[in-house]
Amino acid sequence: MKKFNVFVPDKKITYLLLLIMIIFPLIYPIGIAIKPSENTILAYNYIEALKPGSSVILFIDFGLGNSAELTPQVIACLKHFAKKDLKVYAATQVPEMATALETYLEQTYGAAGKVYGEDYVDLGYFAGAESALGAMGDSLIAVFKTDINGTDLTTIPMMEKIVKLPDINVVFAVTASGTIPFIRQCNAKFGMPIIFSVNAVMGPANVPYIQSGQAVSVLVGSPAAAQYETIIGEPGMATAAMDAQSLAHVVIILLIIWGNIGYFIEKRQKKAEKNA
Amino acid sequence: MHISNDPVVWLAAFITVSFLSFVFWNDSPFYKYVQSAYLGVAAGVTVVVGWGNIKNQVITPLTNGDFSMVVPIILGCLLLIRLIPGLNWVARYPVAVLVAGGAGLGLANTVQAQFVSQIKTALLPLNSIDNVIMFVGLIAVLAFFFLTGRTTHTIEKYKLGWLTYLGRIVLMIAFGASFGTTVMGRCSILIGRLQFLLTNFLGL
Repeated sequence: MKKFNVFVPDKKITYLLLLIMIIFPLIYPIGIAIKPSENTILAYNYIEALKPGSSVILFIDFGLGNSAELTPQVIACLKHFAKKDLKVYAATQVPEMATALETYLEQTYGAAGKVYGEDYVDLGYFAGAESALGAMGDSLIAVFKTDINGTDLTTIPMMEKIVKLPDINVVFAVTASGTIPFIRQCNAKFGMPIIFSVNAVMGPANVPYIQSGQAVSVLVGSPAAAQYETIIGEPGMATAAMDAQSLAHVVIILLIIWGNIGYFIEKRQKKAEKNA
Repeated sequence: MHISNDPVVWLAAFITVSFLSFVFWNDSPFYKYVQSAYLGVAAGVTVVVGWGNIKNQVITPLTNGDFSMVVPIILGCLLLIRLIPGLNWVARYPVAVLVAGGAGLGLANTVQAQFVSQIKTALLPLNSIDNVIMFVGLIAVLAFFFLTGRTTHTIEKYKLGWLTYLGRIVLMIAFGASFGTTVMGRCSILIGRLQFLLTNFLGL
């Protein structure tokens, strides 16, 4: 039988501890204060400064696996866009997200009483990834042809003034696969401002794009969503999850410290045994 | 507590709990079942989406008299010739077109997007602590990559061991930040599923 070591507990115990610490605040919220970060404020201020009627193209580039992290960001930003009367052109390069995109638009623009085809349009799924993005630089209609409902784009009022990608004011790319195609095809080629919303894993690698001026801001993971919800004054899914997120982090940090203490004690014991 | 009456929510809850059961019971029958079901559904969706793409982008334009897709169709078919033994060399032509197209599309803006802008941003005036840390970190990491391996004699000659060591520490800090945010992301996914179970399913 394996000898019990208090510093190396069974993984089931750590998972159980983590589950308890996540479930508890979800049922009984603690209300830990959420302070918007500099990057979240950057994105918010940029959108605030846009004139009503300005256009935003929303790219959904994540699958359902990242939905828990990125959906709150999409919803929070779309709510802000709706408040600012921005025209939204939405598209996804992930097939399974076409239905989710319809739901996002319905929950935000639809719920705000915006008119489909005049205030927002769902361009649906597009294949071709970066090459399709490159082609949008010449013509959006050539890439999409129809909206999600099969309506010819030339008959949609919102498409009258928007012929190609650079005719749109801002790119809002929500991605879990990579920011580089957007930077290459939208910013480097046309100098378009981009607001990125990325999953937490991608955060550290993409934040430098703000400093280089290649991105307006990079919103990272669910904390950024919670911060955005706080700024626009509409607490949602991310705000509700922040207590659990914070307590989970505390548990993980304590477990790391605990493991390190065990490591050093074990190292000292082995050294003592060797010297004995 | 108002447990959902929606069978779809029940199904989603069953799948979520079955997947999470792996943590406590490893390969439980429930886990094995939902794993197989997930793979099957994913494969099915891929086939449907693939067919949808072919239908929308090839068949519909062709039937409408748009023959601009003929060349891509031929190239696509040539890719499948790879499956015929002895003729697999034919597939090199569409692969060449794909690689050349991708490289041309990407490279055109890569220099500006990933080199010039990043290098320009790295050239900071040393007028704040942040900038000094960035500059020293950059030099240390560059030294770590340039002054290792065959250049050990250079380190010894100019006594630069401290710089490469500092570079290693900077890299470890960067990896640590990545690891930290990865943990945060995984927690978010778990919280998302638990939120679903507690609110959508159990109605708490």
